[in-house]
Amino acid sequence: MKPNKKRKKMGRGKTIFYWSILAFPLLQFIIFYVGVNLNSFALAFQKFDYSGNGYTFVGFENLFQNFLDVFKEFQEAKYLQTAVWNSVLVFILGLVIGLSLGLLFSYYIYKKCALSKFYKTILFLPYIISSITLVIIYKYFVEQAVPEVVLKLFNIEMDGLLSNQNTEFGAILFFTIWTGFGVQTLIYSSSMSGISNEIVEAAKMDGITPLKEFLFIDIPIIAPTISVFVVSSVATLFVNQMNLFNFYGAEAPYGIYTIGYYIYRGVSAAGTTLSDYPYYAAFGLVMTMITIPITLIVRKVMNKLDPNEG
Amino acid sequence: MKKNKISILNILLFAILAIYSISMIFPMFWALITSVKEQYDFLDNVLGLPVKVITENFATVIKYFEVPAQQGDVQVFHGFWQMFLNTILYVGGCSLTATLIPCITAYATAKFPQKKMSSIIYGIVIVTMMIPIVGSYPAEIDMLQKLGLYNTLVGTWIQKANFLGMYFLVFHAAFKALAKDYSEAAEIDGASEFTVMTRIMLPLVRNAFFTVFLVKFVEFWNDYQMPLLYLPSRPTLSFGLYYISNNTANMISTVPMRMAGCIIILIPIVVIFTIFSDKLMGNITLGGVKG
Repeated sequence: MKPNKKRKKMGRGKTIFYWSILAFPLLQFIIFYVGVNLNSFALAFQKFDYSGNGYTFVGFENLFQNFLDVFKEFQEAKYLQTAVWNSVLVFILGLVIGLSLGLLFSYYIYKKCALSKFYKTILFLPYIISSITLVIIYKYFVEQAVPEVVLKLFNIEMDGLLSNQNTEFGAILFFTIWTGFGVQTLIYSSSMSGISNEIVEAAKMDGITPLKEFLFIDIPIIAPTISVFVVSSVATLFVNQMNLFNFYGAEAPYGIYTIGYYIYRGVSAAGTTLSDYPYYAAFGLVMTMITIPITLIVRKVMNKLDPNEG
Repeated sequence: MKKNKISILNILLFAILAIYSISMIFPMFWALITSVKEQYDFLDNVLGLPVKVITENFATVIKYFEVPAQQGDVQVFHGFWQMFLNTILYVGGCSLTATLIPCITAYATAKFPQKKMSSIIYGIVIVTMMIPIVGSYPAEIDMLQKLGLYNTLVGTWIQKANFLGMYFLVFHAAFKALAKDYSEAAEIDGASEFTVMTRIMLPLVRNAFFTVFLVKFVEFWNDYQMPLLYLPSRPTLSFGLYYISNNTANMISTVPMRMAGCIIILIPIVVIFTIFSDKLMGNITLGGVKG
């Protein structure tokens, strides 16, 4: 009996300890994740009452009023349709160019080729330098220095890349992809360093070329890591601001809006009032509902493509 | 291996990476030389080296770096040192809570896997990483206002004190990998669970803890959008930089002054990176482990 009693007592002590250290994290999660998302859902069915009652239920007759406002805005405001297209374009180009170059750079670092340590640091720089600092430098560089370089080298006068409507979107898109290699390169090269030497050596004895080794050995082995990266990128499809707030604050030209920028700008801009929040909550909810199935489909596809699965 | 290093693929990658490096270093170098030019020198000579190196630009930026902030009904101006203090309090507090909470949550779930809540928490972390939440800012502001935490430093620290995300997985893997011998020996000697955690287990993962703290520190130092939304009365240096870059009505709105502002904000991060680059670039890859 005695040892049992002792075990029971120890168990209780452990249980108290367990719950006491988890109490705050769980409470935080309940309030700031569950609560906020429930609140976001509720806010989408509310309106702001200026007579002092704060947010109140819109009523059953106007239940979907905020959502109708969202769809109406989508129908009437061409820039919102463009924003969807821009968001998708940023995502696809970021994935195609960013992922393929990111993987190739990772391969180079993993193979410890010439200057790989230096290149690793350079690729990582945009991660440690704040995006606002990079944006300011880039903004003035492409506006002031690039036209000067072109003039000196080719004797051609040109506008800054951001002042010219034809090059503005491309210049920002380039910047977004250009600064996005850092962390993914580190993650992929780290995953590649886990590849067994025996596999690579055996393939080399069979005369495999570096390109084939990259395509048919390295990529399939790190497929799970690539899958996690792709799925989490899809999850940010309508969150990505493409650095527009950094470049323009709340004044970005309508034609280059992304959905992520539209929402952040809407909530943070100086003119936003409490009565605007329900509209943006409904807008966020609609976008979440669109993104969830896309994320799940991409996840399923990535799992099917993963040679390590099943 | 030698064959690898001279393959066409590697030569091609070397060339692309060289171009990338130049495209990254050249604007930085341009920003540095611009930051020590006088305005007329810059206008005459956008690309070249300065006629005269003007280091006073940095002192001028520090002196006139001001951002308005609403405190109650009054508008006050925060200067460089006030913003520096705001930054240290915001970044230090948020980095600490954003590292400590995933760490102790991971400790509890890794140490007591038999508890149902442990597997529920692990599942929550995995699922929430895959669920995209778009535009919950209004609800979060509303929630903070209801709790009386909006626009307070403590509010932002609590807001960031969540266990979600990949660093929970990093700590969980670290605690799982530790031998149980240490904690069991201490328990036999009569140490309490709290003592085992704080005196034995947490020190054993101090490297991972420090790395996550550094990563978070860099992240919060660079972020100005969240303070803009949730802490508008205490502008940080990054926010200040955003403000002066979009505001022409001040002493420091010239390009050389703005570049000097960028260099000033860069210095602490470059120092941290220089000292801890191995930690930052080495251990961050732990996040690549599939959960």
